[in-house]
Amino acid sequence: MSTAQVLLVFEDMFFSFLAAFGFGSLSNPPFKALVCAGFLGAFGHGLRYFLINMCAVHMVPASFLAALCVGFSAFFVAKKMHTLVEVFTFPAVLPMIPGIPAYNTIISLVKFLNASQDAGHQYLEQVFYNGFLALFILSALVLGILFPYLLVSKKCWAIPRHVYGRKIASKIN
Amino acid sequence: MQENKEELTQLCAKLLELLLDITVTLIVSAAHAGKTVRIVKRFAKAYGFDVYLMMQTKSVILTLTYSQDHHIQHTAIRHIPSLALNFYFQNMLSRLSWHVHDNPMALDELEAKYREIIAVGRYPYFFVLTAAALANMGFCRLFGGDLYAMCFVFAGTALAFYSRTILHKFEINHLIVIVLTAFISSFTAGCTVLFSLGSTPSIALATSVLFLIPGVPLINSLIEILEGHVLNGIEKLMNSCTIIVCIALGLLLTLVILGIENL
Repeated sequence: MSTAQVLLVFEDMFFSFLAAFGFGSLSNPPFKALVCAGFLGAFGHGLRYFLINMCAVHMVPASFLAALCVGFSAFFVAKKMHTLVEVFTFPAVLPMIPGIPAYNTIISLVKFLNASQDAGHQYLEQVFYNGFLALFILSALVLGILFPYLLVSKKCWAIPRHVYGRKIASKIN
Repeated sequence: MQENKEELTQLCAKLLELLLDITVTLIVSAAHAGKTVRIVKRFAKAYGFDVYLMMQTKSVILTLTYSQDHHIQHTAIRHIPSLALNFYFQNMLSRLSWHVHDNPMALDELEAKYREIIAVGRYPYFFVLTAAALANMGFCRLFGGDLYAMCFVFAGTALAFYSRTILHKFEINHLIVIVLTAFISSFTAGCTVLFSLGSTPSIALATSVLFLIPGVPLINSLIEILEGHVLNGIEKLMNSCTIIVCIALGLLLTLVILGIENL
């Protein structure tokens, strides 16, 4: 890996930190947890960027792997901070949501409706390709973060035990 | 014995009120069904009661039964207001439920602690607005947008976020609010097309509406289906899909005005 590539990954991680942090703040989590969720999001998206662009992995398995790593690391972070796992995993996968394929699906659909009879089929192909890509990436993300949660669900439920009243990431601001 | 039974009945009625409050708070702050049931059961078990919970889209039914005497029971139903995501409430209520589970306390004390939790406010409005706008800008960059696209997405998101708050004050149907918000956001981003700024106007258009996507309910619905609360899951999925269709409608409106051939 050259220096330029490392820089690209870091740039990607910076902007995904922004995305995870901002979208996380909509759901009002404790502040420390929000910052951690931002870093997890940066880690997840950076990993996916690395897999897609430097290891030539397809979008869907790369998303799944990244979400899986986010899910497992979120479990350990949550344990450390005695906070529910969802507080970390949900904002962290938001930067990976397939916005462009979803948008392309709509655009191609409109173009298909506008097109003359014999030119329509290429747009229809676009609709199916982009629609299924978006669907598969979304399912890969959800399954990736849910797998660790379902694997050790009893432990996940007990994470907030024994901390009420102690000052661990419990206050907003 | 008779007196004891009366006391228990009173306790049951009081606990039921509190548990219904807690349930509604949890559902409104977007906890998935499995978590809500677990937390409420944990609270009730600390006082020696069993809980039977039935959740629907707009209402929740709760029956509280004394574990050792099933004749002592109360049932109540309550409406659920619209969703307001709040991970802080979920987290603190989960902690409180474990706390009560491990150290039994009087009901009044529990109620005081619950009121203390729900009195904590949200982040300052403009902090959230700026954070959301920055997040959408970051999104735009991630998808490969250039500087013009990023600036317009930032402006569009901030504007749309603000106008959503204003539109909600008029008490219009929430789906119409979403269509309008998506339109405002995407049209602002679409100015890059109008003035032909930058080389990636379609990315600006695509990312400008992403902050409206109901990510948390969408993931929650899949968790619920996997955990066996299928009806709750399908209902949430349906709601999220409706919202996504409305976002697409708002975006389409922009596309029609700008002319689809330009993209």
